[in-house]
Amino acid sequence: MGPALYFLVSAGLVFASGPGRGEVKTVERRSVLEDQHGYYPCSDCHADQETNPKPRFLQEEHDSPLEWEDEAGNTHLVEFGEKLAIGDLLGHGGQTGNRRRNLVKVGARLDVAQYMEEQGLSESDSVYVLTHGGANLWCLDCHNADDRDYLRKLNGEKLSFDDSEYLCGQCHGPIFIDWEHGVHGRTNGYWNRELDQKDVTRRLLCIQCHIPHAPRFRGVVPEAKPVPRLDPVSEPTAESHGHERHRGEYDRLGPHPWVETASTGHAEEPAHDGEKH
Amino acid sequence: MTQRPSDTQPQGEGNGSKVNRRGFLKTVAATAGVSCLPILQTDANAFSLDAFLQKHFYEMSKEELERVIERLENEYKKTYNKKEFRVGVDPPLAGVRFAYALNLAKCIGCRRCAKACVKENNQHRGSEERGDQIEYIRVLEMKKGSLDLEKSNHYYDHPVPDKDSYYMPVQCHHCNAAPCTKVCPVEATWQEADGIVVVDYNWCIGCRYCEAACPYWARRFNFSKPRIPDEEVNTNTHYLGNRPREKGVMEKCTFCIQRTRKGLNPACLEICPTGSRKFGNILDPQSEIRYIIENKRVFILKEELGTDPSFYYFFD
Repeated sequence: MGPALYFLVSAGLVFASGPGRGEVKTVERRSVLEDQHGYYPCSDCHADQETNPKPRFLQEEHDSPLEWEDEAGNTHLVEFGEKLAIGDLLGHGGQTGNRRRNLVKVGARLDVAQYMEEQGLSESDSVYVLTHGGANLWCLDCHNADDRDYLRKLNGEKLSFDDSEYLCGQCHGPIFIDWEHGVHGRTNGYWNRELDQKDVTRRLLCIQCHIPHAPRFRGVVPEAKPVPRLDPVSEPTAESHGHERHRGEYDRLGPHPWVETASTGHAEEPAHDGEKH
Repeated sequence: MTQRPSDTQPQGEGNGSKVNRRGFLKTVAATAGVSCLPILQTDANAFSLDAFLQKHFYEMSKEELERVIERLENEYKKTYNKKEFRVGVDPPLAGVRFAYALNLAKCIGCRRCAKACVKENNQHRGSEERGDQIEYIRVLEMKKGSLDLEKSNHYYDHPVPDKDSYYMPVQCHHCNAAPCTKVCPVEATWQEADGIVVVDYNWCIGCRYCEAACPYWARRFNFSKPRIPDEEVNTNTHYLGNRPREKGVMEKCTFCIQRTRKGLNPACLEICPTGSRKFGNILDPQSEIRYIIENKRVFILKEELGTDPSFYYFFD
């Protein structure tokens, strides 16, 4: 088989496989820098500021909070991290689970009590906490100390804020590969890019879903629960896992002798009139 | 004591009954005449002779289908405050077989998919009292480490995600060996060439056999006349998809056929805040869905039933 024939067969196979999704790079990306209304470049204000390499908590020092507006016109606050009462970091904030572990790691990075004394902070004062990477990560691992308008890769190269996903990909390699293939994160618009005549398909960048300084998703209040169809009277609870609903249906038919009782927690066996089995 | 049918039957002439042959025929003729009255009415909202005599979707000629579409669009316009409807009949795209994948590790159970689906697909909003609301997607809260569907909770009402739970949204799996289409006595539901299982609402007789046959509890029945607020009705519809339904017919997820056959993503995917939902053409080796099936830990719900679904769950 000659190369020409091979090419024709290959082209035929590709054609027969239907429309393709197109390359990731064809998806237009929104510029992060354009979203930071009036605050970029950072060097306008920070050029003469000496870099402080000492670990510390962050506090809002801009005159007005940093905001950005998405394509739908919604305004979002640029957050430096998770806003917490500094008292929580002293170990009696009542936090549990991953968040607690995260805070313990953050607290291990510096002496919180000493920091409060130095800064004149009380336990109820709020600070922004970098809840990303535990004690292993600090500002200057990602931000370029020599040029505030850029990020910094692990090998020391400068990186534009617009290309921040490559910074994330340094540590989160498998997720970055998934994102490149469109499997991780959101891609809105057309599943078939060839039919996307108006070029509306968008793939969101890492930082458009995750706050870089506190990337874990926060809890949300879910939409309204569905209305039980057959028994709107007896509402199941979270503990019952919907079992009460079924029991409510049975109640309409009269009590069943083998239904579990609330007091004993086990099924009541029917009487056998003294008969032994 | 319950009367048996034989107790109420008229006695024959030999037993002294006053019913004679002529009187009986008069009664039958009068009853038939009264039964036909609705057909003779011309009010489109009450009953349509054209609708009564309408053929199956695939038995209609092009001209007949155009007339049906025009009639439906006029009916919907009258019903929904003079809004202009478009009832599309876009055919399956060549070389396309749809598949859906859902990332259980990312879903947070916010139910936004279920609500977006209701709006996009003109589902009956229902009422609290009757409990006749229709939602194609049911999000199950499952305990971590368990796949016991019977112990799942549909009615959770607390901030999500719960740290001890994971969330499994269930909807129509568009099975390639669909039990629901096999049991339909009138072939009102079938699988299209692109894999979407659809219902011809005008051909459905409302027997609900398909609902009973579906192992994923994916079909919904209109027990009441569907109520959709005028301002929320979606006028971009498909004949086999989200056009307004009547009381007494079955409906289900169609992968948003009115969107996906134009290349768009389904509404549930568009709204998902975590990007847990992925959709595409499984025949395309470059597609996202193909990448998931080739590279992720994919599983099929109730695989042992052999339904061969087009809907996959995966973890990462």
